[in-house]
Amino acid sequence: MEKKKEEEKKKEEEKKEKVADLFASAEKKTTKKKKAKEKEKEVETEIKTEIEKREISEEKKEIEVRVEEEKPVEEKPKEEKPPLVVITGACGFIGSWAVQIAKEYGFKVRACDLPSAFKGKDEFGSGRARFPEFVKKLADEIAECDITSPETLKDVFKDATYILHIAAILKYDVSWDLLYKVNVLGTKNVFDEILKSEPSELKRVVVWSTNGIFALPDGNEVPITENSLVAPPTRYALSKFLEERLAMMYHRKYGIPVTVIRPTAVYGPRETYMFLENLRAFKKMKFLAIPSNFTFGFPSVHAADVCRAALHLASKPEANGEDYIINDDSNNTAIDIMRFAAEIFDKPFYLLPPVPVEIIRAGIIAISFVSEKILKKKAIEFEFSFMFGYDMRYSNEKLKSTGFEFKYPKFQDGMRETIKWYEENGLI
Amino acid sequence: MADMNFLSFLRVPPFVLEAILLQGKRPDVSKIVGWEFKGHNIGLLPRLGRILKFKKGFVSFGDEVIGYNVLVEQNSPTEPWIALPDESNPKRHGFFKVYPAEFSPKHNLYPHALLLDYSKGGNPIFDPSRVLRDYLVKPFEDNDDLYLGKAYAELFGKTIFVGFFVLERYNKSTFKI
Repeated sequence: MEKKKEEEKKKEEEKKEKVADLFASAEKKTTKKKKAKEKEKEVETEIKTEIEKREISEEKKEIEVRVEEEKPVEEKPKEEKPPLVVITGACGFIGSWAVQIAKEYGFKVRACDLPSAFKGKDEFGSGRARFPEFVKKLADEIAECDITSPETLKDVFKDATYILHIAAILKYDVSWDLLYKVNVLGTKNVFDEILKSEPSELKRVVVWSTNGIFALPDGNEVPITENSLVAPPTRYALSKFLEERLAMMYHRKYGIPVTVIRPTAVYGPRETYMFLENLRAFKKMKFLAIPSNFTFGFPSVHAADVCRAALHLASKPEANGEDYIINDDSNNTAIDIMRFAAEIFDKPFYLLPPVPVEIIRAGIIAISFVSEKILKKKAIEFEFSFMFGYDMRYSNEKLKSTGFEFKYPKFQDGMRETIKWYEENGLI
Repeated sequence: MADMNFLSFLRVPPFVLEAILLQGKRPDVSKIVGWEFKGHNIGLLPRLGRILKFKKGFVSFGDEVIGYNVLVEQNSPTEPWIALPDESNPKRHGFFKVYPAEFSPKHNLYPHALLLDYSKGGNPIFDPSRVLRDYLVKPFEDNDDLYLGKAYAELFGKTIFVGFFVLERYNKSTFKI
């Protein structure tokens, strides 16, 4: 009996164990299942997240592509074959900047200038600015030509998408014949050649003019806008105005897409015409002083911004057949500029009692007349001296309304960089 | 696009006016005959003489083109040109003959211009206007309404610069010779 009982007990225990085992294995299975499910869930979530991530990145990509499409040309073009920018006067101060900026934006560049301009080394600092080495390093193609000789322009504008017409004489003391020949007739040759070569991809010809075409402002005529009275105060400005008129005639008559830009006083590294000479003079002085009534405006714009604006406007359909003043946001007065120079060169700065601007202007005109016309020495160019003391404030609203943003909105910031370049090159 | 207009010419210095004159083209007489143009003198002499505003008319007389001046009120250049003594009875004076400057053996400083020759306008012998010789050009090829002139005086065998003037088409001429 006892044996039976023991056997039964054993059997029960075995059963219990089996049940326990079963439970345990079941539990294990459940946990496994649970774990598997959890893992599944995890994987699912991972996949979902991955899909979401991918979807997001796809969306992002789409948005990026859309943004890319909406970006102006200055942001880097998408095409495999980059558009060709043809730049006339490429070896000069502005021309070399145009080459640099066009390359930065990923364009193919054909640099055009006189054969003599491409020869030799970069030259600057002696009133002459020429950058053949700099341009040859950057440009994809070189075209030696002379805008005053139509036969040399053959194929120069072939396949061009954008043409930046910069080549010109920028001088106030040269003969009218020369100004007319280069700036007006040269431009006519350029447009005649564009008509002949009919570049099918041509989207815009940007013509470089000057802020100087406007009448010297009376008190209530500032800021000068694109609609201000045109009355060129110098023969150089007249030649640029006639150049503008001619370009617009080709636009109206033959449908050539044209935008005219009118930069104000352009500064930046490689500028050795106006700002450098003044800075050198300021540096030599023991102190800097200016009459307290010299509050007339002193316009400025960085060369990089001029070229950025040109390419920006070239991409804007609404800029076709339009003219734009290119001037930064500085709104400096002559006093601001002098104070800045004093700060840069660590000189004492004084405001003097007011002096009638007209008297100073008359004096400058007299000095420039005697030095240029009688002594045949260069001091201040005679025609340029007539502009002294006028309130040269210009509006940049029309340009900004196209969405353009300046890289150097403040003269002082851009000029600090420029001075650094002058110092590095031993010019100052 | 901003363009130069009548008032622009009053604001540019003489060396720029000279350049405009040099690059200008000879006016087509058929485009000026039968019209009166409002005019404004530019320069020190006219300012001293206080004759700044005037009108110039052009009419045909047989095969020739004859012109005349009309005295006007000396008000501001932004105000209307009002003939004197009155609009219905304008005083016409200073008559001149119009022909290409290159045809003149003596007065061909600007051969591409039209010459307004006051010595051949039938003015009275003691009329001071007889000494005047004006050169006239069209500054912009696509604008038949705007003209630039340069006036000289022929005195004692010498040609003396008097000043520049600008013309803009104003009204039809009612003058009959």
